[in-house]
Amino acid sequence: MKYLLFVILIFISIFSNAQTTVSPYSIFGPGELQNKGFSRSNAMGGTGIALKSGNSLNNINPASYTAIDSLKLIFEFGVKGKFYDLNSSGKSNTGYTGNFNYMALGFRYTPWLAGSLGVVPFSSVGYSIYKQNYVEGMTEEIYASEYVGSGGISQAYFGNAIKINKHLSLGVNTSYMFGSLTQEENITGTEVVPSFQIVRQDFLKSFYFEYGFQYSLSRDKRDYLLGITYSNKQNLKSNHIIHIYDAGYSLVQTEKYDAEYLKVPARLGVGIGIQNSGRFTLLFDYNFQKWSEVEYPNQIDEFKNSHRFSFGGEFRPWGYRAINKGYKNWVYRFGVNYETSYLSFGSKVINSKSISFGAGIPTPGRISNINWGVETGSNGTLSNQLIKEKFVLLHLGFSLNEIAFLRRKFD
Amino acid sequence: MVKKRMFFLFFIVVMVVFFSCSDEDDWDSVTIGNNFISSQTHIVVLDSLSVKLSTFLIDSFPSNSPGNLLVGSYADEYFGEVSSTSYFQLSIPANENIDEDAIFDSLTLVLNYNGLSYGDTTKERTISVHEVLDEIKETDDVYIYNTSKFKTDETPLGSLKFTPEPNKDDMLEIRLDDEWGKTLMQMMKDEADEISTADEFLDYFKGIALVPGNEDASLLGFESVDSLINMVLYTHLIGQTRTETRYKFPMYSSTSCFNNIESDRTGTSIENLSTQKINIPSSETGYKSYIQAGTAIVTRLDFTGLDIITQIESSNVFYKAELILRPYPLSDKQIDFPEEIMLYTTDKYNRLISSIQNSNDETLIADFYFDEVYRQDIHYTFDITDFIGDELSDGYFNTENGLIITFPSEAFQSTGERLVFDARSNNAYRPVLKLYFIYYN
Repeated sequence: MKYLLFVILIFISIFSNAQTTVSPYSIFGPGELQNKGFSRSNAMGGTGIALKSGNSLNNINPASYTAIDSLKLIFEFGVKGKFYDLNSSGKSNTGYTGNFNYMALGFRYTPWLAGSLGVVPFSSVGYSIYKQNYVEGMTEEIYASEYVGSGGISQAYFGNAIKINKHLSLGVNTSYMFGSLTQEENITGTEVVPSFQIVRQDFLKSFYFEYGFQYSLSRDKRDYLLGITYSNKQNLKSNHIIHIYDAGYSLVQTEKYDAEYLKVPARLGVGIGIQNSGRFTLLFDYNFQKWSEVEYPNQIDEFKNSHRFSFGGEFRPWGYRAINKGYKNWVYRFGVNYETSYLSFGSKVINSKSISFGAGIPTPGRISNINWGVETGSNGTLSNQLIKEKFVLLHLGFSLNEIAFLRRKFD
Repeated sequence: MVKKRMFFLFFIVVMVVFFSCSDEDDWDSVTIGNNFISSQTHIVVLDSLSVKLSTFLIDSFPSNSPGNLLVGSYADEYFGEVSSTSYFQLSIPANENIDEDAIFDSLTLVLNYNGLSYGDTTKERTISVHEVLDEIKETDDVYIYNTSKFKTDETPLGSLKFTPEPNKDDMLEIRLDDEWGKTLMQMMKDEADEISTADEFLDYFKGIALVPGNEDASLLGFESVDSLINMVLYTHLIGQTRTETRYKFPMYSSTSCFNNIESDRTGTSIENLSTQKINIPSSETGYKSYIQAGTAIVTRLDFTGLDIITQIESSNVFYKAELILRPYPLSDKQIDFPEEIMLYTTDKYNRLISSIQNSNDETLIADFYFDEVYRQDIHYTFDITDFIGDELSDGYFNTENGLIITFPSEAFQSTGERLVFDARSNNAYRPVLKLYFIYYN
């Protein structure tokens, strides 16, 4: 158990600068939304609405916690790395960014009540954008602004699920949103406009709720799974602080007020799955988010409702046997994912697509797993002076079980 | 097993550290199409506030110790008939010893051009030298004012009708009365009391007024340094050879030297100017406002509606205020547009309170944009950010306060510069106050 605490402490110390995004699109909305799910789902195209928590925890649907093995305390954490290549009208930026991704505990109180708590990313911001603006009240007088954004919103959640009967579970995640979003606007001086820096910051202090439903049926050694997740439109509260600095970096003006402009629209997810627990799982998820009902101050085009389709699966080609060679006991995973995002510029909707694959590697004793996944895809478009991002995401996740630590006593 | 588990944890830590490293240092800013992001910062230039111009006459200002003498007259299209008379006193020659046998040649007044000229210099004009009959002295023991006048002898001591060539000649010499010249020479020979000291001489001869004829010509500038104004007595001795000797009567002191500049504004738009307390709005003076050096005409400027700014609700930073004034088109036909104008703050009594300074605490002089070839967009610009900022800092703008536009004091005291501002309401001509803000949210 003390190792567990040690690991948790390390991650908490790293968590504060959990920025994994380098995307100009993250200037919009609350930043680039981070897909939910731990390493198992990450390798399956992000699917998991219908997936039950078993040996590993699934936070995509809070109703899944009821399936946590009764003897286990599950500890999940993961790291993420991203190679990116940003292309915009002839210019290309490549790089790598990586960080701690998530951390969570899953546990059962009673046979019919289970819970989970953890810290996961909600959105992430990282951009550096150059834009020409016009001076209002003069003809054709332009100046340049550089917007540099950083930060992210994290979600500390506490979720509980109740098992209504053999088939049906319901769950709720209650989250406290924290973290900060920072935008520095650097205005390059001209004859008309002085050099200025305007720093806008949001320090989040808000609750957020998500609801889940799971239903399963067993027929002929197969489980047929259905899941639904929902969260209503919620406005995230933040402390909004604006600092204005002049060319000599001395503070000219400061404003502080409570803001609620970070609006997260209603979201509905539906997932179905089929599972033969020893052999395979196939999952399909559809997520809908009603972005058309919200507006942000820096958008010009209206947001479109977003649609996300994902399909994924996992297989044990050889079944599990203790005497198997290592790779034969691995769980192999794959997935695909297509999303039409809420961003639309002119007539161009920003789409993203990716494929993923990975595996779960049992650690000695079979109780813990190391899950790795690789996801590669693209986001955006080059037309209309927009930006296309190609990326390779590396996920590495660990599912540790309390039993694994208890075993020490017998060594 | 313990070892294995230790290794496992070590592996995890290494992987986390490995993943956590990033190379984000060398991001280039990307450009995204301009129509996708709505700026939350708005740089706004407001220029619709109205600026009212009016004209008034400063009652009087100290005019002794001028930068130059100004003598002449001309008829100004906008300001009427302008004439300037210079007054000064004379001292006694440094070399008083004169030979008993010296023979009088002539007595002249020698002036040095300083290059200034206002009006038509090519025209013939008259300058008469008159003896001043009153003692030239300070009105209030400190200053002689531009409105001061002293009685002069009607008969001139000398007079010259000429066409000046200030660029060709260095000096102007006016021949004075021979009889008085001889009298002066005799007094020197006799070592008369009148000429024994400068003060005695001032009692005897109170000074000179350079009076222009009433031709429509120009105002001419002459040096006003003591040593460059001289009455010269030319004599000669006949011995074995002819010896010529000059005796110079220099100007006594610049503190008793001044120009009396007057104008007859009858028939002009500003003929009703009378007192400092009453400023006449531009709408009553042909949609123009006026500044004239010497005669002490200045323009007053009032901002109306400026208090609207203090009522702006959205967050903003006021960072610049610019005042743009345009001279009336072609009003430089007679006299060039002046290059330097400045501002004073003023109150409802039109008092000159304090001059507006630039950031180096020097008098703020307008930037003058003059396109000689196309004559487009000729204007003066003042950066009055500090003035407006101070006025607005208490959240209230007192509309009784305004600005006075005038020339720097030396030019205002002793030159013929003048300026006519355009005050028509058309956007291309009207005086403009530009206020620059950063609005943000």
